[in-house]
Amino acid sequence: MRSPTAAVIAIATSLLVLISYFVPAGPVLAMRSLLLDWAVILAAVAGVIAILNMVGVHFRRVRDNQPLAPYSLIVVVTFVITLLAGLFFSPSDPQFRQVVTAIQVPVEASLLAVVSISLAYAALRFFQNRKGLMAVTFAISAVVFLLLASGILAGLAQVPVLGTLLAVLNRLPMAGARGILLGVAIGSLIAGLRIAIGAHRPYSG
Amino acid sequence: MTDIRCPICDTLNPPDAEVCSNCGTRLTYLEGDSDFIDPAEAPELPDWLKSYREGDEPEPEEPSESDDWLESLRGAVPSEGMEPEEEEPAGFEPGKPVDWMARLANEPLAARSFTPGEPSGKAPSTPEEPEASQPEAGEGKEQPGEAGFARAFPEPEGLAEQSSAEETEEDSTWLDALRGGPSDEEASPAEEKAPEPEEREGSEEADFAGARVFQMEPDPDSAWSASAGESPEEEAQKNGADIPDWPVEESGEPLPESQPEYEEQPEEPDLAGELEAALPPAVEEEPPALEDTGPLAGIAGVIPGSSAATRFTPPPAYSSRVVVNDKQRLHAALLESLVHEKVAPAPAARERRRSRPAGLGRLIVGLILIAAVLLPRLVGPFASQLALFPPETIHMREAIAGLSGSIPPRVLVVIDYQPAYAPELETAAQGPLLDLLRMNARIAILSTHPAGPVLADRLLDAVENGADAFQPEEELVNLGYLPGGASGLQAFALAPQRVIQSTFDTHRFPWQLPAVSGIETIADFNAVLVLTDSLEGGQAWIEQAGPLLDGTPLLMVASAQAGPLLLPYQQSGQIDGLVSGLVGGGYYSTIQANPDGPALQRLSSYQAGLIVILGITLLGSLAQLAGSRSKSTRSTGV
Repeated sequence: MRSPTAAVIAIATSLLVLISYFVPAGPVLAMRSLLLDWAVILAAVAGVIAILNMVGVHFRRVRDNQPLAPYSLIVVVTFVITLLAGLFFSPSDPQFRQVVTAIQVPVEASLLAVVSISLAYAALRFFQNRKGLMAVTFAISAVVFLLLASGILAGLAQVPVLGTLLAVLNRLPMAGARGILLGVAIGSLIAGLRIAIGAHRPYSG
Repeated sequence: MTDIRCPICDTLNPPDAEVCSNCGTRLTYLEGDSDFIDPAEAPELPDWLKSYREGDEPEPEEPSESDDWLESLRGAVPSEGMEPEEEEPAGFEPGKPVDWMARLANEPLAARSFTPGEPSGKAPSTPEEPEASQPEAGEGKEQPGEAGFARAFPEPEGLAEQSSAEETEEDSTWLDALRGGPSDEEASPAEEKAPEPEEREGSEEADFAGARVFQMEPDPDSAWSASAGESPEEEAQKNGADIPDWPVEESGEPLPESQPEYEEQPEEPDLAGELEAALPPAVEEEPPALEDTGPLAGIAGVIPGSSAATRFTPPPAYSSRVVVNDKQRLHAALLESLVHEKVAPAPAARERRRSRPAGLGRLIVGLILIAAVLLPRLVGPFASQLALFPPETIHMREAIAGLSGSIPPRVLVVIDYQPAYAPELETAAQGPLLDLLRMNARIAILSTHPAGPVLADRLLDAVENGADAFQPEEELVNLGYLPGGASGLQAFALAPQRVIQSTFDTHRFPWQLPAVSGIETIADFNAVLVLTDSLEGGQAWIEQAGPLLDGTPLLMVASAQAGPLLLPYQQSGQIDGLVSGLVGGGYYSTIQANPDGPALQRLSSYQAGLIVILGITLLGSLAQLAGSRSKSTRSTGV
């Protein structure tokens, strides 16, 4: 949508919301609240559209008998059952909550644990295959910071030399995190300004 | 008015007739005809033209019977009912030939001017054709067309006599010329004296005869030439014809030397000689030679192989030696040495020795890990030796303790994590939540994840066991799911009552319940506790709700993954307290003086499993290092 009307609306909206932070007057705040309400409603509609798209993709896989059709069939059937159960019982029903507490939480937590094991194994294979300075550095840093984050070495913090060394090592992740956050903040600022002045138009496709 | 005479058939028609009554020809002009001019409108003509026209257009007269020529014609025309075939030409008597026919009968046949291509006696297509055809008709061999023509248009008597007389005279003239030879006048060249019409006719006849003679094959036995007893050239010379040179050349026979006329005309160029000289010399074809050697000996017309072989010489011999300089020779030697260099074959890889199944080792490792994780459950937590507490955890504890001044405190708890992170975050958040419940805080739960409302119930169910005085019906309200991400969060921070209109479980308007009554903005809460598993979720609350909190403490319980990234916000004062992961929960439990809390138990299991994993990895690395060293020792033989 390369319409200038869309660009005008987007720029005006962004400038209005930005001004409301610097000039928190009554009309400006009311306008900002109205725009945000619209945004919330549109986001909810977008969520519904995303759900329908997901179901449509898996339904087409089942219909076309693609290689992953059995899994897609499970997804579609499960979705239908959950939807019907939610409509019949409502999400606040204690029986329906078991869908989340007894199925979703254990499954997702187990998958996350498997992911952590896979990452550890991949790091080990990397160390075996790419023997070099970087590989050795990666392996040593992984082991050290695992030990530091686990709190195993917390009892050594009172040892004069080791305590200082552990304090220095604990600062390293925070230093890296600050660098990452600064980069993210600057990038977000530039992206917001580009959208506000119309230089970047993600809404135009 | 006078009658109108038809311009076509001369038929007289009435004056008012438009078309001829005989032939249908139109007699009057049509209107609009451009050629028609009304006499009344015509301009006045001069006198001379009028007189001329009057004289030119005489009055029609009645046909008079005194018209001599017409009468003579009509007299010559046979009367009606008389067949034209029965009319005989003038001077013709049946059974008696005419004089010219008699003369022709006595005349030699060669003297007649017949073409050789028509042996049947048909007359040539010459101006004399009528004269030649008429005798044939008189001999009773007339053609059907000719007979029809004669019947349709019989000649008048006078004209027939005149024509017969002229024919007789002409026939006698050219026949005499044939008999007696050309006269002096006829024998002279045409350019010297223009012949009279009669003489020219005879000359043309002679020319035609002479040309015909040269086209004929000289056949002494032929009746054409034998009857005359002379050669055609002599005959033509007698007729006084001017014979050109080209027929002689064409016939291929030289002119006879007995022709004095050609010899006496030196002024004429010898065209035949020039043409003969211009022609290429004739190639004389040799008779096919007989082969005298080989298997084809005695056969004529074969390719003379023996003579051709003797004409060719063996091909010249060229030197195949390549001129190579020193540099090229050096490069060639280098390439040759590379090609012939012996490469030692690599030793074949030995077959890997399988001592035991790979699955057994993995099973042993798995069993060891499970035992390490379950060990704290059996022997009690051993991670209680955390002595130095992190500052963010201490600030969290102080911020929650500071809420005790407001009775009862109203706290907004935000569920912003996925079910996968529920075990970690529930464990880490149990300490702060337990403190809140113990001080009878009013808890309002808001979820920014679809599964958040259910996870919140699960969280509070785990915490309620440690807070006996907590009454969920009065002190707890689940506001449900807040969509829209950062925008929804911003909207909720500005006007919570407009965004959330119903509770999650009771479907009632929440803002009249005791837990959240009197809340107009997010700043009306005494504290905001955010449980998040990602940096983006924590940032959204810091950036969107932080400026509107107006002094309300913003506390966070983050996963171990997002904690280090959110720690700078705590250090900068944008977050009042932070608990990061199991370790942070363990620290908080330690500060809380709750050694039996789930955080310390799970932290002990986590630390035990981590130690085992690191130990196995270290042992495996040492074993592989030792194995590789032993391999290198065996390979080098040292």
